[in-house]
Amino acid sequence: MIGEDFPAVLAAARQGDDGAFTVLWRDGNPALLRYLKVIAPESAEDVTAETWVTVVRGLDRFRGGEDAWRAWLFTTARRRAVDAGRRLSRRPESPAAELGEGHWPKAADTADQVLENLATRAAIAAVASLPPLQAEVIMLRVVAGLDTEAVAQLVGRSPGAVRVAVHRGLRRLAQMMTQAGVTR
Amino acid sequence: MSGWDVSDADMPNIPGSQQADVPELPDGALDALLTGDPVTDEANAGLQPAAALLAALNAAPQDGELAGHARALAEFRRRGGMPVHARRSARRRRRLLTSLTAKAAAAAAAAAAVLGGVAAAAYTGTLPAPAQRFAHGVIGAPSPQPSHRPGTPRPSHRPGIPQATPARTDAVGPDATGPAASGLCTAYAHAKAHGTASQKAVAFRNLAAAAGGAAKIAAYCAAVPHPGSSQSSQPASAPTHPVGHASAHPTGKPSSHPTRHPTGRPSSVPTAH
Repeated sequence: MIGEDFPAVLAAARQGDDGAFTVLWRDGNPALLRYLKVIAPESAEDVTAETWVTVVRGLDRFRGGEDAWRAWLFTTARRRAVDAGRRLSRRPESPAAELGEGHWPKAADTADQVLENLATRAAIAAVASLPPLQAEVIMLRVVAGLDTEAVAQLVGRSPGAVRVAVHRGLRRLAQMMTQAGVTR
Repeated sequence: MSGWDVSDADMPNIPGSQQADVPELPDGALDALLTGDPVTDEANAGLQPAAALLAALNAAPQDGELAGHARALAEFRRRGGMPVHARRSARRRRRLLTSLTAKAAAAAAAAAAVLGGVAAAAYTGTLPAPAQRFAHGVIGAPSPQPSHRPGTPRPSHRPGIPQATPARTDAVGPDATGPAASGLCTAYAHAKAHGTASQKAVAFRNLAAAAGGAAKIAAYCAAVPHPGSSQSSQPASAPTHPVGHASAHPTGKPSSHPTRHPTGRPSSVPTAH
């Protein structure tokens, strides 16, 4: 999230400022990759790169604030994934194993420990093991940071359906965490 | 809705799981999970264990996640149709950023020896917004936006930035990696006082990246010596209470994953071609 400087950063990027584009890229790229690892795991890196190509070419036409920017980024990513016909060909073998001992901090963990690389990979794998709609809406709400309305529009469902899918997915994730021994 | 769901027997701890159809989750419940607040409504308290997983989903960028920068930047530079006057002002802006970088590097050089492992390990990249919100809730970090507004009066303060000529004409912004990171505390203070909004943004983002998140800027800059100045160059927007959040301090990082953070990180540095 770039915050109140977003309009200035966007304007500078539109004028060709490398540094400003880099700010936008660094802010968006990790989230795009994580989202695509869930909806297009076989080709997440490629689709992410293609997404930026599209975004760069459309930069001059984009209008809006940071929320609209993020919605556009992820809408573009989803289209690129769908276009390529590579979406949702997935599901890891054993998400429970990914969440097992050694990958996850214990109950008395700290924020630092939670923010571990391994935990992130395990978390992405866990979400990817959910039914497609649940997995996607959780990534869009949590990682893309979009609100329910934006997610509903993006996936072509009602806001109510999105909230239900988020609820189902979170229940399952909470259960996985409990099984993996994370009890807080 | 997919029929693939958790059986009741699997979820003894979640009230309401006996119901065949799951109700909508109020947005506030997800927000609570994301910010680390306890889920207060009883019906959704069973979701609490998912909070750690959601935090991990939003953890700071990892090595591979910043690897595609050169490719994206090349594409960015290739895009056509940019008006000439825009290119010219972009060049001017680049020159300003470049000199900022040089100053940051010069300031950092003096501090590099002291900094050592801190600077090397502190690099974790920028937190995505929800992670920042998480940090905000859990470790008392500032909310995602820097709270300092351009034009806000600040204490008069001239950090003793060594004068330097730009060493790299192709620099695109302060390089947050490596020992140069320490100079970003000074550079940000300088950009805030004298720079454009864009320069401020870049300096802030790079400082946040160097510190391991906006939450850690105060602790990070407090630990950095300030060459040529006895004053603190701590950004006004940083939290003033690093104590009590020992686990969030950058110095806690290195030992936890020494092999996952090569200190060079050339692939993530915005290099020019």
